[in-house]
Amino acid sequence: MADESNEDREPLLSVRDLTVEFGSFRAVEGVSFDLYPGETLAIVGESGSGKSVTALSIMRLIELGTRGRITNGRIVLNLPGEEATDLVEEPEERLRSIRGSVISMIFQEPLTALNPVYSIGNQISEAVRAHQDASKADAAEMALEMLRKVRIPEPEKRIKQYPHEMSGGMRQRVMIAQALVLNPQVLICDEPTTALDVTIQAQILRLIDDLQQDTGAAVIMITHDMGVVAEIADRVVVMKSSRVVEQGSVEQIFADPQEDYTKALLAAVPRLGSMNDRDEPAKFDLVEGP
Amino acid sequence: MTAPDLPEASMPNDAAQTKARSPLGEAWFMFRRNRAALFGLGLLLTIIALSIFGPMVHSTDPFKIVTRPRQSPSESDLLLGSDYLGRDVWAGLLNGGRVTLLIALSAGLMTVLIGLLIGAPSGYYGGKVEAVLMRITELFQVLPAVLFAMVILTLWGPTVRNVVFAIAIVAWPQTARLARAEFLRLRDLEYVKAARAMGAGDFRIMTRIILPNASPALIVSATLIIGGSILFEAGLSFLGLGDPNTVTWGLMLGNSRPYILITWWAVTFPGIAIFLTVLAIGLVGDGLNDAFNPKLRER
Repeated sequence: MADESNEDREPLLSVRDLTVEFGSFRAVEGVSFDLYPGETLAIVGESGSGKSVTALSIMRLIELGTRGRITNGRIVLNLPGEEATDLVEEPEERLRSIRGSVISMIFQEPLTALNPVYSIGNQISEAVRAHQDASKADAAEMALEMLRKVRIPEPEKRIKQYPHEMSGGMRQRVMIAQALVLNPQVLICDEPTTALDVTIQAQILRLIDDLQQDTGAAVIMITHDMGVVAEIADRVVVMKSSRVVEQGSVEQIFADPQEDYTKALLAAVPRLGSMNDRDEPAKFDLVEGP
Repeated sequence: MTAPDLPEASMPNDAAQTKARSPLGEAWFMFRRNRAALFGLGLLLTIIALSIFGPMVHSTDPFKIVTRPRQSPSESDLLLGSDYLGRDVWAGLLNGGRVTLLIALSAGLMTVLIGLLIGAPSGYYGGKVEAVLMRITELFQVLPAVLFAMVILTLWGPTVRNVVFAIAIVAWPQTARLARAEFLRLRDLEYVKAARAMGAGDFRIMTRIILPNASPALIVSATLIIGGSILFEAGLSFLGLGDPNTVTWGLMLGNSRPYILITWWAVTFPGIAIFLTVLAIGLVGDGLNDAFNPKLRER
């Protein structure tokens, strides 16, 4: 089922039987998948299918505020040259050192994901200084370097600006810079392009792809947009109602989807010319539960 | 629309890009647009300057009897006359201003500090922490303020330090509730989540991420508390519970109270001083509210 090329490699991250509950409600149920070094894994599904909760669980960010709990399963991080660790069992202190430096995350809303009271340079250097014993000047230098990498024009000037002075696409670039400044092995993108318009979406996706080539990081892309999946993913996990419906390589999912739900998801992407000779909008097919 | 307005109005983005304004710079810009607040600030600065430098220039001891009792401003060579013992009212005002402002400022700071220590964790953590801390807050909130402060001062003695403490102990529940509300509102915001995803711990998030964003509300409430502290201190002194060895406006007012009909000036001028100071602080607080309120800000 998985890509042949992955057979001989160790997964960087493997999620096994993950179950997350909010009170008595199971938001994620028995989810398992592997992430291999350098690949892009897309988790797709409709709103409420549990894809974002899965991502937040990997960062162990589900407990505070949202009051979710991981009730079952393992999230094994297997860094090359280090002993494998189960993130579900790790103490908060160790998790803190992993967040941002080993596993980073980009959020959906670039408009609200930057702190309005700090300049963007300040925010990126803060991220550096939270993990490394770098001087202010060194951290600022790293921030500037990172702004260049995410291709923000005039980074020397931009670094002093505040989030409200930047556009959505620009802010998402800053978020990416912040997430990647410490060279993480895993980058989790939670619908990074949903809040952006289409041309900016393409730019941001290309940017993530380029940076991934540069750094060799593995990317988990959470999205409900099959177009995004086709654009950048190597492998796909399809989720519905808290469970994994189907997973496989992107070629296999697109060419030969096994499950009805996956077929319906693919059918939901409009095709150019599909509306010819119709004078009213087409309705979607209804899909019954898994 | 007039011609000079055109370039700026049609290219707001360019203006924003050429002039990077920090949040504080922006706040000052908004503050300046509130005329009343500017007036209040000027008044407050004048009062502060008079309190600091006044006693240096006019160095009469406010407790020393310098002339005959009950000299009105017009029949005496003292600027504001003398009180029922023959003490200089103007010297009392200048010296009293120092202590009054010092008490108000320290009480305000202490109130915000206690309020933050209690309110921040309860808003941030929620659950049991919140339940315990908020019940303690409510316990303090239901005690009658003046009575409680009077008990403290009677038990521990009416010194300046105890007055500050008494004011803070009755005022902090309000700040704690505000701090809790702000931390509760901010803790689930995306940028707090993002900071956590970058590896920030609870303490770092509370102090470096949430606090700066909660501070506008806290600063505005602190100014109101400082104004209230002046009134509260005056009330305590009026009741005879201020420090009798330190002159404050409230003490002057309280001491001269029995003679209000024959020496009106010894009561009126401290009263005016309190009124103007509280007014000035109120106006500044109003201006700060404008300055920090994002709804009034135009981009």
